Amino acid sequence: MDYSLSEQQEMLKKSARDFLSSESPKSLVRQMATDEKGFPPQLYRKMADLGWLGLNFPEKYGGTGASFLDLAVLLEEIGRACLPGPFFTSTVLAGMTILKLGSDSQRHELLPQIASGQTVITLATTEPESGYNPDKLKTKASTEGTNYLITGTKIMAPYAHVANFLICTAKTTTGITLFLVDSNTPGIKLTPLKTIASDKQFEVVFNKVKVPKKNILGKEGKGQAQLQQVLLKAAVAKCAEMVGGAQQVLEMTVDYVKERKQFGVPVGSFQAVQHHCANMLTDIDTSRFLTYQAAWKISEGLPFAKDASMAKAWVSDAYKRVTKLGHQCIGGVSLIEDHDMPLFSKRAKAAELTLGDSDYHRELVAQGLSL
Amino acid sequence: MDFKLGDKEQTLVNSIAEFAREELPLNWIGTRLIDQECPDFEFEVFMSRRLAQKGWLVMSWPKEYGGQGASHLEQTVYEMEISYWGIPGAGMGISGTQWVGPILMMLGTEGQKRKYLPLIASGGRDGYWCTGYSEPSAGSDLASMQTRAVRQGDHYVINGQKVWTSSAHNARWCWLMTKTDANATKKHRGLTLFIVDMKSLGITVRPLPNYYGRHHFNEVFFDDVKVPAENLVGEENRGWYHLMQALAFERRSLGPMMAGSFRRLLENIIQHCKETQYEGKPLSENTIIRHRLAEMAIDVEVLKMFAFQFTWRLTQGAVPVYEASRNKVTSDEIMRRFATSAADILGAYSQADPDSTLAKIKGRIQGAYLGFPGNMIAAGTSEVEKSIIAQFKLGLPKSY
Amino acid sequence: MDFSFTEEEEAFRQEVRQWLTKEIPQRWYELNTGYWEETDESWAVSRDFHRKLGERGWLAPAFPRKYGGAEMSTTKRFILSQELAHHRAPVGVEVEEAVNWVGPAILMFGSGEQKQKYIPAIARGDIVFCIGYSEPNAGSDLASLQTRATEVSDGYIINGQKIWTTIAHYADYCWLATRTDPTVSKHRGISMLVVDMRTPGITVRPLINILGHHSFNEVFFDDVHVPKDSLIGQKNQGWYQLAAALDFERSSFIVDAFADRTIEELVQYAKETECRGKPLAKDPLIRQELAQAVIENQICRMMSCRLVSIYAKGKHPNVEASMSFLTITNLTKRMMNVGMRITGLYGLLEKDSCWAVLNGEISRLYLTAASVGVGGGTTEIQRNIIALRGLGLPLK
Repeated sequence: MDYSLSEQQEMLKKSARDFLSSESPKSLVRQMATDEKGFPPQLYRKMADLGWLGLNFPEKYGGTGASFLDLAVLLEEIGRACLPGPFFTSTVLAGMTILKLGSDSQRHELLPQIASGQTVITLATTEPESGYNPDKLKTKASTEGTNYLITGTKIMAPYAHVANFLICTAKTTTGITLFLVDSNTPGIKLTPLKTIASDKQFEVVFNKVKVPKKNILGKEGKGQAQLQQVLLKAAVAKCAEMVGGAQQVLEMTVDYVKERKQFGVPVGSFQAVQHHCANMLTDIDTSRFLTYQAAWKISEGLPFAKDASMAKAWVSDAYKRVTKLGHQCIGGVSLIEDHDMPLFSKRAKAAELTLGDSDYHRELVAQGLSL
Repeated sequence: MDFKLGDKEQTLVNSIAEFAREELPLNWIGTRLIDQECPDFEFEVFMSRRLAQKGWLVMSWPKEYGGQGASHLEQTVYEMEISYWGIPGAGMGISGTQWVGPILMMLGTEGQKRKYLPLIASGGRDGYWCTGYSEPSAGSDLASMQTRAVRQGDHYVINGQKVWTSSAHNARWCWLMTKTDANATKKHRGLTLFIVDMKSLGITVRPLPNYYGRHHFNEVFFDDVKVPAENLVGEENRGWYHLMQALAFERRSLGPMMAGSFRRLLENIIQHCKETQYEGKPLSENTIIRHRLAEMAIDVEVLKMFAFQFTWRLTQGAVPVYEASRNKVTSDEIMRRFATSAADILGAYSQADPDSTLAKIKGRIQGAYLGFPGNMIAAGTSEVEKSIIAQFKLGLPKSY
Repeated sequence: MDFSFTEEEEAFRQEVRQWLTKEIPQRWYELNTGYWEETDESWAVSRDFHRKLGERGWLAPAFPRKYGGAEMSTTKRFILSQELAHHRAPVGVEVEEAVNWVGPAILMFGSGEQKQKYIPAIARGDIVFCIGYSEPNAGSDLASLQTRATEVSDGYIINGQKIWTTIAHYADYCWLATRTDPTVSKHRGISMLVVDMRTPGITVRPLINILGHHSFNEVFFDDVHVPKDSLIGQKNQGWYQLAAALDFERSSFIVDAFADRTIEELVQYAKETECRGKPLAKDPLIRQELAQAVIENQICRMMSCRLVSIYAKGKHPNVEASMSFLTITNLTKRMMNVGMRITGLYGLLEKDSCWAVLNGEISRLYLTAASVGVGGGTTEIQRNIIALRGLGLPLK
């Protein structure tokens, strides 16, 4: 039984923290909220040089060959920094999808490109009425010779405007299929969605978009089932990001309440405030442990589905609780745009809803209990 | 990072399971969480002896004191599993195994070790303890206790009163904190720890039935009780610091025990949900219930992880003060949530007395429901624990 | 005990409803401006509407008739406030501040001339106030405020800084808490002044809030010279006036009515929106959440009604105001949770985004919910007040 990180993981954590605090300070994060692209390309080039953009890809695909646990360590620091940009959607989500479902040639072609920063890929799978379950998927892919024609509407596709490829789910005659769509293909219309977290989400409308057969990912008609595993792993990855954010919120809060004086004493000496801080810390410990246990199981190749859902269900609520208490302890100043706290509380909400909210995952846990 | 048990621990899990199946009566569902000991004291002592015979009772003690020198992890697994099966007797009262033994090993005299450790290790009645800390005027502010111990020749004379003394009516010995220096500049510096024979003249044990009519607690009155000087534990006037150590040991065991008990209780309630129909289908198919059960399952997982993390910290040679408070507060909170949710699931049946024939799951849910308010107060209230976390771990200033 | 309204009161409610349906301009709904999101246009539209209300005597209905009020009973005033909220009328914090906090304080503590000067103008909708309480170093510990008002022969010279001053950039006057005597204990040296915001020396600097909008400000006072009659009530007795004003502030009647409307909209949304083949309204978890919201809404209303009952007896609520304030906080947070639960991913979308639902109200609620336990006295302070004054628990 070992709750510690390895020496290399500690080094990764430290170097990531140092890099991100100088390269992605909160002022940059705020700036990027209104920037059209949403992230600075030179930062991403540096991340590529550090091997982060393909951290958990096998070396033969141009990656660093690190484990999922290592990725979780990096993601904690990324969450702490509120790093803007398509790292999560491209490296984690799209990367894992291609790793798991792609053919050898697809992997050889695309993964090195993601790892080098040359290519950004995002997922366009959520539909207006499908919630987290794809049963009511409406996007269709009809055949035309050796091509498919995709028609339908997707929403909440992150960084679609900078993506070179979109991974999209559509119904073929045999079922739900995953397609790799070149974003330059005619017939694709992007509309930005204004979200609380300013996280560059898009509506993507496909109008008879031509996709060659060879761009199917995985097996035709079996897309959703195959994607499910990837989405669960990505949910754990998201938890790691959330834990990092929550940790920063706690540190920010404690630092503030030690300094801020009212009634002649630090507000951190009031019991109510102390109890809020203790609650935050406990929420972070629980979140971290559940996340890392799930991440470890994934790294070890053990069954992880129930742990992944437990983690996502718990952390989704815990991160929000932590940010709320952070606002409460810090008070007025945390409610202005210039303060760092809103960066976290907005992201907490977005993260909760990404890759399945608590209700969704609790139902999965219930299934895992063989109820 | 590693979250799995080793072979030794897995073997222990299996052995305890086998033991439970052989030794426990059929349909034994375990002690109730409100009961600090088994309602049938004879059976509890019997099990203490059996655990001693299996070499488990004091497994983590050094061999010279009757133990196996087992690791922290094995100790944790043992505590989890016996709690899961509801096997009574592991504590040797309140608690010979959890803190009396370990403190004596740490700072007892040779004479004390030779006399008391084997009694505990053997699992017999004479190894049973109660602990005298709280007084009517000294609860959270424990250091302000008033029970006096005054030196007279080769013994001390003790006068005073303790309250909330669980198992005093069954114990052979009392682990007693007293005030020896009324003039100490700081109240913490005038306290001393003694071992008191419960058969001594001048001790009166008066039952204090709790709010649902069960007898666990007592008031214990000391009227000119003579205690030999050699029964002083550690150093005179340093009792507070010994108590802090004892409390650390006490909080250590709480985590694994709760993790095991609630794992079992979760299985019980799931089974209940599968077997009980509501509006034409089993409760387990009702959306709201499924969500409650999922939340409970996550809580049980958290209990387990906190217990193991605490243990891991011990293996690293740490003194996990923060984690002890964190685990205490979290266990109590989880018990509250779990019990409340489970009681909701039981519906009308949740009002049945735990001993009633109407009670489901042998009243264990009501037990948890009735017991959690006390747990949130005992051995450090949630408020005190959270303040400790804030001050000790986060460095926030002192508050009251 | 009586929880019903009389026939006359119900008729009044209908009268209000009809009037509002006719008089609230369509443009207001198009603008879809929420609290703390004021723009120049929304401000102009609201101020117009205030004057219309003022003409009817409904802007400050509780004010004495001689000052342009309608001496409306508290119950009717309650009905009017609730209907305004329910219709999402253009009546925001600017009205709350002038009509409900400052106006009553001036009526209680001001001189005849002061009442004559300000009260009718408030009632007509001609003037609005901003509130100068908090300072960078005086938040929860408001009494430790430092903005100095030094008495001179013909008035006061004010120096200092206020913060979180909502609508200072639009207000005509500032209801300003100042320190007039720094030598006595902090509560005893405070005076309330009404300051014309056009007085030279006042600088208003915008602060952008968590919604990304300019609603509150920092306000700097550099040798601001105000006349003697700026002082309301007695010099150095200001804390008691401020405390009274805070009780008024915490006696809001409108949050539950606001929430009523949101609940209606959410229920409708839940009925119309399908997820996994069935309407959200049939999802047991959503049903539970909605039920809980309705219950908490009702609690909030009953707390407001209790305040009505206290005012109607000519008394002044204190502990009850704090309790009501707490339930308002809880209700707002509950509404936020319910809204988010029901709208799911769509709840993240801001009002002018494509695919936004319910006019982006839910995303707005989410962001404002964080401030609800802080402004006007944190929930911890409210609980302290309830414990100390309501339960007689000892001060440390």
